[in-house]
Parts: sequence; C-alpha cells; structure tokens
Amino acid sequence: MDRFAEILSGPHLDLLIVGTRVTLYMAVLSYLLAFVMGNVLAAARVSPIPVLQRAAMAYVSVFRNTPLIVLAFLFWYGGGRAGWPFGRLTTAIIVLGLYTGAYIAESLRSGINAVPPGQAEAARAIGLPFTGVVGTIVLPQAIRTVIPPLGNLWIANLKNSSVFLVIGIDELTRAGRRIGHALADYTSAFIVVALIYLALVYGSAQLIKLIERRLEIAR
Amino acid sequence: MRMQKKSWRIAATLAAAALVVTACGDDNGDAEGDGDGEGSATEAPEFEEGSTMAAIQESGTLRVGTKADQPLFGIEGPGGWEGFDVEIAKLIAEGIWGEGGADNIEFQEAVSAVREEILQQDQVDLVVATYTINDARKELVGFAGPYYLAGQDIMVAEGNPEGIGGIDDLNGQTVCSVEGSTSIENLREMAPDAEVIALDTYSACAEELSQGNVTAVTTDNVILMGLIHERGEFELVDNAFTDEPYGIGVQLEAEDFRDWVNDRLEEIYDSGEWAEAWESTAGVVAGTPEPPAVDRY
Amino acid sequence: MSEPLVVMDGVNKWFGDLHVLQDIDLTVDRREVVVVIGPSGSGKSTLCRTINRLEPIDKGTILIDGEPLPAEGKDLARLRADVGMVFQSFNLFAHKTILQNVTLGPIKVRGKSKDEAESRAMELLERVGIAEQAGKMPAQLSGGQQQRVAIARALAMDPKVMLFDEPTSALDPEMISEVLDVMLELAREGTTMVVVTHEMGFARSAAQRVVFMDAGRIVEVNTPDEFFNNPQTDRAQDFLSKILNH
Repeated sequence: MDRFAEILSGPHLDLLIVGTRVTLYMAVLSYLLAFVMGNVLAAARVSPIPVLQRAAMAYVSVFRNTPLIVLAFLFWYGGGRAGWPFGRLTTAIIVLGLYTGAYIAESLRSGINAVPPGQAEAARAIGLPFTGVVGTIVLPQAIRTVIPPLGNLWIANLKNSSVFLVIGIDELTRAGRRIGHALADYTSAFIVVALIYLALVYGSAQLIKLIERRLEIAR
Repeated sequence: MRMQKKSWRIAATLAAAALVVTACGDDNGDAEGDGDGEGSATEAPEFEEGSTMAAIQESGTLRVGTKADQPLFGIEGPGGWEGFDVEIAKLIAEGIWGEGGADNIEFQEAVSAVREEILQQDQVDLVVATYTINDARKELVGFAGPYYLAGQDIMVAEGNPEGIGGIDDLNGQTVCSVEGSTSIENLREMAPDAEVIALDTYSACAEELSQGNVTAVTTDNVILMGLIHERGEFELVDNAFTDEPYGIGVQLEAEDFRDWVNDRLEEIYDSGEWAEAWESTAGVVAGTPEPPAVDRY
Repeated sequence: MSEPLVVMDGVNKWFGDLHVLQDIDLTVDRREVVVVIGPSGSGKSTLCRTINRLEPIDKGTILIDGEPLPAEGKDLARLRADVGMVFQSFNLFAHKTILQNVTLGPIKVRGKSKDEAESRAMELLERVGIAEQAGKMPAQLSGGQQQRVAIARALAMDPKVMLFDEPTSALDPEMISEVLDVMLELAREGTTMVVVTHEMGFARSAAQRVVFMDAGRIVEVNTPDEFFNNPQTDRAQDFLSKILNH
C-alpha cells in the first residue's frame, strides 16, 4: 500500500498526470484524423471511380496488414530520412490516425453495405451528386449502425497510442516504465498504469453508450 | 572440483609438451632468444611452483572471457577477436609466455550477465569485458586493475555544431538515452533542463542524432565510441562526467594471479604497450587517456 | 401540338446475357400520363429506371426535354433533379424527418433557402395530407403515408416529369387508394407522368396511353379504352385475361 502511495505522490504522480494527458491528447487527435480518413476512404471504396476504389483498397490493406510499431519506425526514422516534415508527437498522431483510419474505413464500409440501396437511389434521383449521396444520406446512416465498432476502435486507438513510446513519446506507458525503473518495482507501477487505462476506457465506454442512446432516439 | 580440473590440465599439458619437444625439438625458450627485444615480455618468466600463473603457463592456454559485440573493445569480427580489451588480454598472455603468448589465448564471449558465473565455474581464467569494478562484484570475483576509467560521456554530430563541452551544456538541449539505464537517470539529475528523449536502444538514439532530432546522445563512453566507430558521422565530446573503473576479473581465490596481473598492468603502462593497445583500437575515435593507477585492495 | 418531353429511341439493355430492354422506342409528351403495364419480368420497371439513368443503357438514346441523358457526373445529377421518381419501397431518408426529406433536395440541389424550401414543403405535405406529421421520422409513418411523402419529396424539385415505379405494390391494400388519389390529382393537374403499375383502375381513369410490355419489348401502345376493351395482340389479351380474372 505504501508503494502505491509513493507512486501516487510527488514526481511520480506528475509523470502519471503528464503521461495520461499526452495519451489522451494523442488518442483524441489521432481518432479525429482517423475518422476523417475513414470517411474519405469508405467513400472512395463505394465510389463509381475504379481508381479511387483501388487506391482506397490498397491503403486499407497496407495499413491493416502492417504492425503499428513498424509504421511508427517507418514514418519516424524512414520518414525522417525522406524529408518527412513533422515533429515527434505530430508524427505519432498522424501515424496512429492513418492506422486507425484504415480500420474505421472498413467498419464504415460494412455500415454502408448495411444501408438499403434504395436510400442512395432516392438520393441520386433527387439530383444529389455523388458526394452528396454519400455524405448526406449514406454515411450518416452507416455511422449509426457502426457506432459500436467505432467505439471499439476508439478504445483500441487509445491503447495503441502506447506503441509510440518506441519513438520517444512520453505517454502513459512510458511513465509507467520510468516509475517502475525508479522504484525497481514494475509490478506496482504497471498496476497503477493499467488502472488509469481502465478508467479511461471505462469512461469512454460510458460516453459511447450515451452517444448511441442519443442517436437511437433520433432515429 | 577446481583442483581436479587443474591437475587434469597439468597432466594434459605435460603430455602435449612432451609431444612438442620430441616432434620439434624446439620451444619458446629458444624462440625468445632471437626475439627483437621490443615490448616488455620477450621472455617467458619462471613462475613459482604451484602458482596460478605456473599452472596456466604449463597448460598452454589462457582462457579469456570478453565481449563479442562491443566495437573497439571486444568484438568477434571476421578477422578474429579485436578491441582494446582483447589487446589487454593479449598483453597479459605475453606476460605469461613471452612473445607469441597471445596465440595461446582461447577467447570466449562473456555477456554482462554471466561474467561472474563463468569465473566461478572455472570456465575462464580472466574476464576482460568492459567490466566495471564495484563492491558487490568484489564479493564474487577478484579484480585486477582498473586498466581503464570509463565513464558516461556525450556524443554529438560531427563538428559538434552546438558546441557541447560537457554535461552542463546539455541543459536546454534535446538529448537521447535509453530508458531504465543509469545513464538516463544521471542525465535527468545532472542536466535537469535537458529535454530527454527516452528510447529503447542506443542505435535508435544514434538514428535520432543522425537525423538531427536530438542534439546529443549520452551513455557510457565505450558504447558511444562503438557507435562512432560504426557510423562515423558523430564525435565524442570526450569529457566523461562519471567514473566506471574497468577491471580484469579473475577467480576470487586466485589472489596470486590478481597481484601478478596488477604487476603486469603496471609493466605495460610503463612500456607504452598499454597506450599502443589503446591507439590501435579505441584510439581511432578518442584520445589516449592516462592509464589509471591500479588498486590493490 | 404535341411536345415530346421524354424520347426513347432504340434503347437496349442487357443484364449479363439477359436482354431486358429490346429496341424500345417511346415518346412521352408534355402533360401526358403514360401507364406501363406488363407481367413481372417484362422490363417495365427497368424501362422506368432508365429514364433518369438509375439503370444505364447499353444502346440507343434517351432525350429529356430535348437534352440527351449525360453519363455519370454533375450534368446527370442536374438532369435527375428535373425527373421526379417515386419508388416501390418509398426510400424515404431514414435519418431525416418528413420535412427534411422534402426540403433536402430543394436546399442541397436547387440552392433554395431553408425558409423557402420549408414553406413549399409544407404546402406539398398539405396537398398529400401529411402536414401534421412533418416533424416525425419516416419509420413512424404507415406505408401509405410514407409513399405520399415520397411523392411530395419528388414534387418539391418541380420536376418536368414524374416517374412512378410500382408505387403501390409494397402497400397494404387499404393504403393503396390514398396514394392513387394523390396520383390521380396530379394527373388531373396536367403533370407529365410515367407510371409503372398493376393498378388497372388507375390506368383506365388517368392514362392517356397504355404501354404494354412483355419480355423486354413494347408489345402494344394504345388508349386505355382501346387497350382494355380491344387488345390487339395475343399477349396483351392473355395478360389481361389473367389479371382481370383475379
């Protein structure tokens, strides 16, 4: 118990607070990017233009079939050599967003497939252009059906942010390692870190439920 | 156990020696006579009967544990074993057998975690493996030396664009080291205003430095020298701010051997062979230091 | 005197090996109501859907008000706005209110202001008798009500022609008449209409011409009186005898 009091006070607490803040910051911004990417990619996947379809398909398979840690190294170190202009944290957010975006695209695509084709036909029939059909009619309905998977992806995205400690991001897991090392007690440090992740995930799960209920009513 | 091994070895060596004598009719004794006289050990000394040195000399083999992956210190390359630690071991072997004694060394890899164990289990006679002397280890093994004072140092880009002269200059700079290492703790303590980038390997830190993401990398100078040697695009600030006295590990009971290795170290200090060993290895990336005084504890 | 609004000339379409539209020539004049009937699988729905290119054609030309149907893209979207369509399964936008369903096109496609679009939408909803449901979601309405909203949605674009693709086929019998009443009203007002339907009563009372299709071809075109009382082809006779006995 003393050990936990030690972790939750003084400089260790500061490390945890900063780490949690960085983790949340990364998770939120990368998810926003992922959401935009996912929508664009899903729209491209269902577009009538073969080049767009194929490009989106290629993107999704590259990002889904490459371990996130490999992407992290590739963008930060490989990108660094090739003139990648972004800083460490920005890179982490972008890579995480691009990665999760591929998964969101796949979720949305299945959501789009679940929207009856008559919805798109009716939208085309009143003269909406493709972007209007997808953006105004199909995607908003697709998103409703994929709120649960999107929620899961948010949680995965939050946890995946820990990968970026390998490129030197001082996020929550890194804080756990630092405290674990300082106290020569990884177990206690990571129990605390795990509980913080749990709280973050639980909190977001509640939020997702709330959003789901909202949309349910609006339906 | 140990005595048994030793007597077996002596027996085996005697048998081998007898073969050599009958086959060639020649041995070290003669060869020394027409040596060129350079160095401190052209002649094989006589060791006291029953001493560890005598046993090794008779066995014809010096078993040395060293690092196999530490450039400039101990590395097993295509041309055999190389590095400053390897050179030190060779000089010690020449102290036992005279010139050409280095050929009697049997090197084996000694990773950090097993250095005590292989001495205790009589798998090696010597450990020369970037081996820091400390009190805990002195309980388990004997230390001759130190033969080199390593320490935490700083590596910067070639030309040292930020003009880093020492640890204090790291305040306000972005500095890379490895999480969980003593080095990173030292950095956080001694340069509290540095922005610390904590990674998992020093190679990753080197990549960061190479790409200009960080100003400096800090850890043991030996590791830094290895990185500089391998990548060639960095330089060492060469102003260590901690002390890591490197010693030569011997078996705890072999106190006579420990004393003799200390004598031998002083010999090679005086003869300049120690400095030559440095210059031909680590000296390619760092200046030659003064040899440290041996500590006969 | 007649003003051709929709002109189909030598239209052919295949679904794979299936030749679903064969050499279709059909002209619909302004203010004309044309009812297309025929057995299921005759291609009548497909014909209706080619007029706003929900089904692209493989051969032939279609002119709307003198303009050829463009390929996919902005021009097609613009042209579709002038062609109202009512589907068998209503296809109201499930996530929009009744009012939003009707105002979406005018606002997004015609660029009308929200106020303007809403007051016009309320007028139309009034006309189809759904005004008091304007704030509800589609799923809260009966099938007949939804189809009337769908008609209002199409009318809100002020289309040159209205296409009805079996508008009552998905409805429970008691709701069919409320939709037909609205359509009859439109016909009386002189709306140009192409109606694919099985409702022979509607064809008799509203159509200027009846188009009978079978196996992807237009087999017979005639006035309703002539068609129902004196069909010229065996296939039309056969078809009529079957549905009239029901």
